[in-house]
Parts: sequence; structure tokens; C-alpha cells
Amino acid sequence: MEEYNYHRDVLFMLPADTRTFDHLNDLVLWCTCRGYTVYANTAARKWNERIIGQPFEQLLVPDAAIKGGAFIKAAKSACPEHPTRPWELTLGTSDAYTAATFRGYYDPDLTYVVLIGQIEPEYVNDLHRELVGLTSELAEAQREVHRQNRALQVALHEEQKLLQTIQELTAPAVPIWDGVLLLPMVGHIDSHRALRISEQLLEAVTAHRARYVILDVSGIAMIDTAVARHLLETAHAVRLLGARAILVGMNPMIVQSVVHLGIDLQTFHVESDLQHAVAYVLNRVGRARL
Amino acid sequence: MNTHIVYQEYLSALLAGDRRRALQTARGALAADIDIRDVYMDVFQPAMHEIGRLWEVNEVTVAQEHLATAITQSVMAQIYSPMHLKPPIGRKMVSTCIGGELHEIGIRMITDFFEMEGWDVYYLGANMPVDDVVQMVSEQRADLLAISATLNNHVLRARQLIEAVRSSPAGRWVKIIVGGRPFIQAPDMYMTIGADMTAPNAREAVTQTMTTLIA
Repeated sequence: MEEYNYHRDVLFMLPADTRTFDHLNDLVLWCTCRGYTVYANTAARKWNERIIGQPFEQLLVPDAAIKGGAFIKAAKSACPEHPTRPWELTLGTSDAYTAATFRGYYDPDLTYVVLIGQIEPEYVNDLHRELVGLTSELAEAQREVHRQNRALQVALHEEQKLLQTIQELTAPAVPIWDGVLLLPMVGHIDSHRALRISEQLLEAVTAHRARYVILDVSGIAMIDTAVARHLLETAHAVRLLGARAILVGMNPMIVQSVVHLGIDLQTFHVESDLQHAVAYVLNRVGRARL
Repeated sequence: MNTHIVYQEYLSALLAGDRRRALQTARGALAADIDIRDVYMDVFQPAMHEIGRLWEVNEVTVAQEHLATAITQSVMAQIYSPMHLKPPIGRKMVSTCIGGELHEIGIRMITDFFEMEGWDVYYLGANMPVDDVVQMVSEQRADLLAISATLNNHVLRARQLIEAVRSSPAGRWVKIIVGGRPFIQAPDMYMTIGADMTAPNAREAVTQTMTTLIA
């Protein structure tokens, strides 16, 4: 098949000299009234080598074809003195298009529709794309913050529930014998918890009419002055209610800090472990009964 | 206040390129107790469609369209808050969109809708490499992969993505939903590219997925 030759097949059939158009940056096209391209300058052919003989829409991104048709229609009824208003059409591919602003009119001397397109500088398009991309990233970052906030809220809520459970779990004084309460203390005691423990213990002493209260501190790792003071106050209060506090399960660490802090444990009866404490108490209770 | 009035106000803000007014309009709608989903579906979505239509009739420029996209992206992110989210339900979704950031709004709406329903969502952004999507699906043991395509030439890429996901061990059973203009125009096409379902909008996507996952 013979090669398509632009100069031989197109240029020499045109009714006017078009060579100057090839030096323009703007797109220049001539179309028949049915929209077929008979001439396209170099700038236009850059977007579609084979546009000559094809409908003008073939120059455009597929999505812009309908709009392109509407533009041709408008151009047909415009005259050289009053061309169409600018029509923005897109060239290239759907994903990477360039916007071009076209005007058109029907030239009665040429008997063709003349279309002139001005291409937006490439960087303008790139900038648009970059801006939309940036917005997208920022939007995603904002969402990420929302998500993290939400995760934190969920975590906080869980923790609060857990804390509440712990607070409810600890500090109940268990009656282990008539008039004998056992208070096992576990975990980290801060002054807030110590206060709660005192309150609940005093209530329990009254409710059970306890005469002995065994405070088991073997589950506590650390003790500070404030907590020690609370314990002492509690022991004192227990005394006023007519019961006696027995301290059990002091570990070396606590003993050290008690000594170091100079806390006076006179109010307490101290036993080394729970077994001894129970024996001591039962012995006394039993004696009282006898 | 009804959504149509909000829509008109929002559209006029977009056309004016006035992002503050657009944001105020959206916030005003929420303050007037309009559900955020309705703001998405009855304000943002039709407004963006209308902008596209106005370009077709030569009333707006590509630049205005891009600006409207950016404004809507930003407004969506700003009005979205944990307040709208249901507690986590232990389901995971990975979402991505074929094509550039200009086509992201749809898949973002879908992703937000799922997150509002208590899903853990992993939005991978536009034009994510296939391998990254496959990796994310298997890493997260996702229940759902959502893919959006806007242009007809995106469908082939969606299909390649689905094939890659399906041939990975973790991706064999993940449910895949596709959406976007090509799938609305050809409602049965989702099957031929190997997806499990399609939906014309975000609300439908949630309903469909829930039905499919429970079944």
C-alpha cells in the first residue's frame, strides 16, 4: 500500500497557502461542514498524526467528543467577524489531558469551517494536577487524624472501664470468720485508691461488726508516705470502731520504705504471713468465746 | 432546610471557587441535622456531576472543575469526624481507585460510608501499584476490596488488579466490589472482570456488601 503523504495528498489540494500556519503554536484546522478535517497545521497534527480525513473529534480525548461535536456545530453558524466564544476542549489521553481553548467560524471564501485552538501551557495543567494531588493528600492526613482520635477514644474508654473494674474488684473486705474481716490488697496503691479502701473497710467493719481486720499487703509492691499514712489512719479509725487491725505480708521492700520513712506501726499488730495472722485471730476469738 | 437548597448553595460556592462558603454550607447542613450521608449523596455527588455537565456545555473550564474537586475533597475531610462513626465491628476494607486523584471523590465517599458503619478502612489512594494493593489485602486480611473506575479505559486496569489479587493466597476469598461510571453504564460488566458485586452509589455499596457478607 502506498504511504500516506501529507504534502502530496493534502497541501496541494488546499485553496490557500497554509505554510505560515506551521510556524504557529496555536492549532489551526479546517473542516468540512460535516466535521471532517481537510487541513491541520503542525501544532494540531502533534495530537493526532492521522487527523486529516477524520472527524475533528478524533483530535480530542474520547470524553470530550460530544462537546467537540457541539463546538463544530456552533462554529458552522459563526462568521469570521464574529467567531464562537472560546470552547475548552481536551487533547491527549483521558488520564493525562491538556486543555485547549478553541474558537471557530465558517469561512465562506474557503468554504471550510476554520478552527483555532490555543493550548494551555503544560505547566498549568501540571500545576492543577499537583494541587488536586496535594489536596488529596491533605484530606487523607486529616482523615488519619480523625481515625487516630477515634482509636484513642476507644482505647481511653476501654482503659476507663478496666480501671473501674479494678477499683471495684479490689478493696472488698471478706468476712472469714465471725467478727473477722480479711482485706487483701493487690497491685499499685495510690492515695485515691487508699482512700476508697479506707472508706469501704470502715463500712464493712460496721456492717459485719468486726473485731479483727487482717490487712494483707503481700500483693503490694510499693508503698509511699501518703499511702502509709492512709493505712495508719485507717487502722486508727478501725480501732475507734472497736476492732483491731492486723498487718500481714510485709515484703522486704515495704519494710525498708516503712523504716526509711520513719512510719510508726504501733497501731497495728503485725504478723509475718496470713497463716499466722489467722491463727492469732482465731486463737483470740476462740478464747473470747470460751 | 432540605438537601436541595443545600445543594444549590454548595454548587454556587463551587462555581465561584469559594471554598469557605462551600465549607460553611456543608457545616450548616450538618448543624441543621441533615445526615452526613445525605450531604455526601444529595449535595456533593450531584454537585460534582453538575460541574461535569457544565463543562460539557462549555459553561465551566477544566480549571474550575479541578478547583471544585479540590474544594470538595477538602470539605469532605473537614466535616468528617469520629462523631459520625459507629463503634468498630471488626470488619476490614481496603479501597483504591484507578486513575488519578481527579477521580477519587467517589471511592472516598464509599470508604467513608464503610468507616461510618464501623469498618476499619485502609484507603490506598489513587493509582496504587497492583503489588501494594495485593499486599495490603493480605496483610490486613481484608473482608472487602473496593475498586473504583471512572473512565472506560480504567476497566481493563481494574480487571488486571482483580486478577492479581485473586491469584494471591489471601486474596482468593476477599469480596470485591467495583463501582464507577463504566459499571453503571454496563451493570453486568462487574462479573466479567471477576468482581463479586457492584453498586451505583455509596449507600447501595454498604447494603450490598452487608447482604453478601452475611449470606
